[in-house]
Amino acid sequence: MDVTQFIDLNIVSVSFLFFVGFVGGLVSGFIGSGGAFVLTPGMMSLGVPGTVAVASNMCHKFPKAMVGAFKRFKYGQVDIKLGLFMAASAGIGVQIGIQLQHFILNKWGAVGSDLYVSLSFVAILIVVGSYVLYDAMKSSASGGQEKVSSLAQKLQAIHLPPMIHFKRANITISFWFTVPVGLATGMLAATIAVGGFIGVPGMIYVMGVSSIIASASELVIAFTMGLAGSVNWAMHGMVDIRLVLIILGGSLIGVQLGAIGTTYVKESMIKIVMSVLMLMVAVSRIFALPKYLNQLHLMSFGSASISILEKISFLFMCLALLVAAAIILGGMWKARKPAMMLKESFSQV
Amino acid sequence: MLFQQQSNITPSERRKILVIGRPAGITDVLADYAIQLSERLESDLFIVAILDNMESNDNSGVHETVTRGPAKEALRIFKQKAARKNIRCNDAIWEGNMEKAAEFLLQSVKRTVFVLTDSEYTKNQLSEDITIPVFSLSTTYDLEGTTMTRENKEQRKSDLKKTIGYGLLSACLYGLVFWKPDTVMHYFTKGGFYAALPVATVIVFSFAHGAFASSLWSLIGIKPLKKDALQPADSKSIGQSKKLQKRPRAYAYINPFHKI
Repeated sequence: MDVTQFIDLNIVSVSFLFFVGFVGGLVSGFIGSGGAFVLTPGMMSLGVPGTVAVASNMCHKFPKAMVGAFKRFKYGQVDIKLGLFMAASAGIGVQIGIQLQHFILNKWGAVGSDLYVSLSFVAILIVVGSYVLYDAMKSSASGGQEKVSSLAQKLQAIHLPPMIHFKRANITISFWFTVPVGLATGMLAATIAVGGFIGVPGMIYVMGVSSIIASASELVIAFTMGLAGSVNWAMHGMVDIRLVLIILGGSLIGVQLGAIGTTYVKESMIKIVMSVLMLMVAVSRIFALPKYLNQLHLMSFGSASISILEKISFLFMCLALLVAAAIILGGMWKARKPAMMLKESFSQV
Repeated sequence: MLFQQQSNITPSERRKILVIGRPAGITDVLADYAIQLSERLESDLFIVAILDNMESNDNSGVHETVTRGPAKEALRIFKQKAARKNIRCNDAIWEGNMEKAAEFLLQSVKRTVFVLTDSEYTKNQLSEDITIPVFSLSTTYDLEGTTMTRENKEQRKSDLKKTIGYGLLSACLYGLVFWKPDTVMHYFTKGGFYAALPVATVIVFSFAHGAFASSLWSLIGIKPLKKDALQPADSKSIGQSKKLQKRPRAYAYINPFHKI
């Protein structure tokens, strides 16, 4: 592959990638995924070809997930067995997702494929995001303590061999109930590049894993899938190592802060951050829908309006990431406040 | 062994809390807590700074003049704080062995109800030698503005060294890649077996830069507050300790054929 197709870097692009890397890393370290959906379009807006952007994004994702998983493992939050089981079925899910994309591409063309991606994006994010937000509000009202969902309790009670015990997550569930969650995670990852948006809620509500352990184990899934994907992309020579290292520069700092943040806040905070992020990203994708509807001649918009809507969509995505980061940092600050008050009360003695 | 005393040890009817500080001085947290506690319990305080790393030059016992600057300063601040709350406080500096200090102090200072210290190590050392309760004060929060303990200073020093070390390593690695980016890109995008180059590079970077980032947050003072999700490990250790606690029991055996 010729070197000339890779972009020239300047101070603006380096700063942008470093900053997005940091914020994306912070969110990933906290909820187990996120950040990737901003990086790919972000790199493309800098002039990076689509495939190189996807490849470079994936290549930064797996070391970031590795560092985040290691950090959270030290805090006793990672169930490696759960992560590996989910990663195995998610790997199959990715293949199914790719085949589905090919099928849609052949049947309705590139525009149909884009519309399918955007619609599934919006539908899944709104449905799952709303439920997670509702549940987070409910558990926040009851003091931030989580309850195992009734669906998970019912599924755990069904003895369908082989039954698997996940020690750290402290659950025993049939292998056959872990598979659909893994497959859905992989399919979503192949479609919208963020499998965690279904993987983490799936582990919480279908399997009965706590949100702390689900979000930490999601990092194991992200690492496994990211490594496999990166090797694949690197074999095609698509990885721009310069972009990867600049993003990593920020994200490795951010992911550790996010991981530390999980030890400061209540478990419901993970759900709040995830749901707010999902709903805001869904809104940003709604702004992108008219473009595809226009191309399919289902609606008619002027090219200027489409361009403005695309920009709004991207900015809203960046805003979603910033809001998620602000909630995490705010939560950490609030948790630190009692310590400061304690100190003040002692000083007044 | 040299025992230096600023105020005379006067036996009193009031109960006392013996506060033992470490050589580096008495932390603010320990001082504040001890004063608040003595106010609530309506007891006096006796504060001792142990200087066990210094050689004593005579064995004359109690001396009026205190020459050990930092410990003296820490005791002065402590006494000032106590005075503000109208709490009677005696203080002393002990040079030498901590166990002997505790033994001597408990004989000399009457009606000591318990010992308060801010170091788990001191607590363990004292618990072996004295019969009254010893409590150590520790906090999970890294309170800003408090007098730093020796451990904190050492930890900070180690964090600073690690941050600089890993930071330099990380900067060197970045320098290597961005020194000749065209050559690097040429080989890294060849595909096939050359795929190992970008993958290995990011793994090496994640170790160096990850370690740098970790020590950087630690240096800034952002550290994990609590350890979550330890239930399985906890239950396991509880199970083991229960097993260890099982004592052999004596059983009486009555011979039914006795005297038959």
